[in-house]
Order: sequence, then C-alpha cells, then structure tokens
Amino acid sequence: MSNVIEVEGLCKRYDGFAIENLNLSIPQGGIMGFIGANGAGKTTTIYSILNIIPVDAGRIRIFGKDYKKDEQEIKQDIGVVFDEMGYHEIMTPLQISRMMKFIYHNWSETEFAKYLDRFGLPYKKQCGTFSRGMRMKLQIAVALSHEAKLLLMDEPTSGLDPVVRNEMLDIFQEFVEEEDHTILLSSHIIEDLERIADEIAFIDKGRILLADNKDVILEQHAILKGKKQDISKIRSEDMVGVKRSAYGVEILVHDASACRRRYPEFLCEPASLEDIMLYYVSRESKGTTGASEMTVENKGA
Amino acid sequence: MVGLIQKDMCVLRRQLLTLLEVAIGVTVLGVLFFLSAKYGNIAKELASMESEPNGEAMFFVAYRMTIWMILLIPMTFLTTIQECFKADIQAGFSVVAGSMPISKRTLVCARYVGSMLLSLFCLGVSLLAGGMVAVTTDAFAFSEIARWCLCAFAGLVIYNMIIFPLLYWFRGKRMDLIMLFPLLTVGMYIIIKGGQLDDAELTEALIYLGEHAADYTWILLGIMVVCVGISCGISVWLEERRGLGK
Repeated sequence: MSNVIEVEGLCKRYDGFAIENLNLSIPQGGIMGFIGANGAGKTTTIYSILNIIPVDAGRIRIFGKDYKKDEQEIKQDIGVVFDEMGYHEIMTPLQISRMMKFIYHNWSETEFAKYLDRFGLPYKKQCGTFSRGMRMKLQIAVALSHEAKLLLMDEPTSGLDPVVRNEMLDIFQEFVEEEDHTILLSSHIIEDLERIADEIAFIDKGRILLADNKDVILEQHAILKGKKQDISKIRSEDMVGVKRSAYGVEILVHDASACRRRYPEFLCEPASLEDIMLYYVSRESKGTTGASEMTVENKGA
Repeated sequence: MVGLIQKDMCVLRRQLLTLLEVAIGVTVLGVLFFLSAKYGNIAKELASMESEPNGEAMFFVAYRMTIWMILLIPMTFLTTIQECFKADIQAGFSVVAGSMPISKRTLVCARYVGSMLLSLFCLGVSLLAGGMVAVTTDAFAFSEIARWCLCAFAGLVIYNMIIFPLLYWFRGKRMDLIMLFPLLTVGMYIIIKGGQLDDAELTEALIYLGEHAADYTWILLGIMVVCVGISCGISVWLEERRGLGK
C-alpha cells in the first residue's frame, strides 16, 4: 500500500512550543485518526502539510510529489475542513460555489448542490446565519465537490452535538469507500476515531508517540489489574504506565498477549484508545522512556 | 483569480450600493450648488469676495473647487477595498486560502486587481456625476472635470498602494493607524509648509493649485502606475516570505 502523505523530520518551532523531528506516513485508502490533546501539535502539523505555515526543517511529500514544488497541483486533489468555517459570513453557499468554480478545475456545481440538499443547507442564505453544525457541513460539501482524493480535517467534529457528529462520521466513511480516497482526521474526541479510523497516530508536545493500525494498537495494548504488592513482578520494559488507586494498580502494557501469559495473577482487560493515549501522554510528561506513574484517589465507595 | 475577486466584490457589495446612492446624491448636490452659486445665496456670498485683493481669482477657485470636491466624493469609496482585509481577518480566510490551489502571488494580485476594478468603478461614477453636472450647468467643460477626476483617482490609488504593503506587513492589524499614517504625514507637511507662507502667498498657492493642478494629471497617472507595480511586488514578496504565523 503506497503512502498518500509522507512527513520526514518535520521541525517547526514557536515560542514555547515545538514540533521536533516528526515522522508520519499516511497510507492510501482509509481513515487515519490523528489524536492529541489541545496544543499537542495537530493543527501545526496539518498547516505544515498544507504549506500554510513555513516549516523550519523537514521533507513532506503528498501523492508522491513535493509539497512545495507541486503545491497547486497537489491541492487540486485535497479537500480541507477546519474547525472554523473560514468563509466570509456575508457569502451564501451559492456565491461560495461560484468562487470555487474558478479555483478548482474539477469543481462540480451539481455535486455541491447535491450535498447542500442532502445536508439541508439553504443556497441563498448568508453563512453567517448558520449554526456550527451547518458551517461544518458547508465545509464538507465544499471539500467533497471537487473530486478530492484526500481529505484533511482539523477537529471537524468538536463542538457538535452527537446527532450531527454521527451524521458526519457516516459521510467520512462513505468517502473512503472509494479505494483511492484517504482521510486524515485530527480530533481530541477519541470516541469518534475509535469508531471510524483504520490507522491511528498519537501526538503529544509535537512528537508522535505511537502510529499504527488501530486494531494492532488495540490488540497490542492491554490493562493489567492487580494488587499493589504484585507490581514488582512486572518487568519495567513491559509497562507503559501505572495507575495506582486505593484498590490496587492498573498497568498499561504494550505486548498484551505476552503479558497475559507472563502475569497470570493479573486480570487482563482490553485498553481503549483513550486509556492508551492517557498512559502515553502521562509517560511523556514525566520525560521518561520507562513507565509513567498515575495516582487516582478513589473517594467514596 | 476571478473567484477571489468575486469574493472581494461580495464583501464590498453593500459599499458599492451605498456608492451608487452617493453618486446620485452628489450629482443633485452639484447641480444645486451650481444653481445657488449662480442665482442664490451662495452667489451673494461669493460676490462679496470680488472686492477683496485677488478676489476674482479666489471666487473662481472657491466656486469651482467646491463643485469638484462634491464630485470627488464617490472617489473616496475606492479606499473601501480595505474592508476586504478586515473581512478576511474576521472570517479567518487566510487559512482557507492556504488550503486552496492558489499561489500567494495570485492571492495578492487578485486583491490588487480587485482594488483597481473598484477604483475604476469609482472613477466611472465620479465621471458620470461630473458629466451630469457639465450637461445640466455651464460651470465647466466635461474634459476639465475628467482631468480633475483622474487626478483624484491617481492620488487615491497611490494612497491605497502605500497602505497595502503595510496591511500585508501587519497582517491587517492596526488598520486604522495604517490608514491614517499617510494622511497624517501629508497633512502635517501641508500644515508645516502652509504655516511658513503669509496670506498672500497662500492665496497665490491656492489659485495656482486651482488653475494648474489638472495639468499634472498624466504625471500623476504615471506615478500611480509605478506605485501599483512596486506596491504589488512588495506585497507579494511579503506574503511569499511569511506564512500565517501563530
């Protein structure tokens, strides 16, 4: 499977924040979930890929082409959805369509109208009057109306109610039904990505902590639950992080099947993407390569 | 580029409609001023100037300049292109534009082309209003009005061309300050220079300006063309050199 996006050694430094030597490959077909807390570097990475901000170092290739040299050509095949609409509030969807006709070679007014109808968006109403959900739908309609092969989406579902979110996730899945269609979906709502993503990349403080197939990540990681005194039996290289509570310990391990065999005295439970992210982020924030320590105070019960 | 110009025109649509209303207004005002200056109260007021030294010439200048000023009001609308910068910032359009298959050069040039189209439209409105006044009154010939309009057109375009790179440099922030900067600079110069002249010299200068300013039309237009080229080049360079920042 070829890669649609290849990012190598990306560096971008701001005052108080830096992306250092970020490597990321997005395979063609399917959805890659880009997970990270607020300020982790998701938006900066997407902006760098789109050459919206200049990078300090690194090599980025999209569809096998240089992102700067072939920028215009590449962008003809990219649809983008940001967390804020970005179109002038005074403009109507119809005017946006007229504008896009001159910008994208493959712009289809019929397709755009089809999406507006499907999303229940008015043609001639100023988009300043639209709700957040409607604004996101308008962006998606634009992104899908010029035969894009790659969708880059930065927090498209944040701030939306569950009904609209669900509707949008369905649209994303529909988009990737085409073999050569790919989505990079950044979000901190892990629930959404757990549902639709095929690949996952965790980012924290400008560094990719983990990037792999979602099922592989979920299969490899597990949470071991046991008594506090048994923790010494677990090898430190097996542990990603430890959470201590009044009732015992929970340990995230990165080789679930081996650990299941190795530590039968522990209860082995599947880890969710959220668990995995929290343990990894906690480990990184302590600046260690070994296991992190989290303490949970259980009150009541 | 056409799409981007269309977008700017959407933003300016309200201003353009106001401009048409203003055009009708100034035409009526121009004719009314002419009638009053010829037969009404303004005529009496201006006639009293004739007894003063240089009075006749001053009468001529004041009378004509007032009508010119009225006719040039629509021209001031060409500075409203700056509303597009404001609207882009408010909408966060720069990010969307960055994701589109448009080069930064096209993005900047579209704004300049849009600005020139708006300027030509304003010039057209002023000429139309001037033409109406010329036809309905015997105040002056249309060619004279046209040269004055062209002078004002060139001056205001030069003003825009000074401001545009500053707006790109400051990314549309401190817009009011930037817009005031050239006006204050020229204003201060006039005040300082004017302060050094006595009344007679000042009157001479005004008369000379009234009679000969239009003679510099073609020079001003030439300077304008050079300014457009330089300003556009600087703005493109600024945009290509800098990204969005954070």
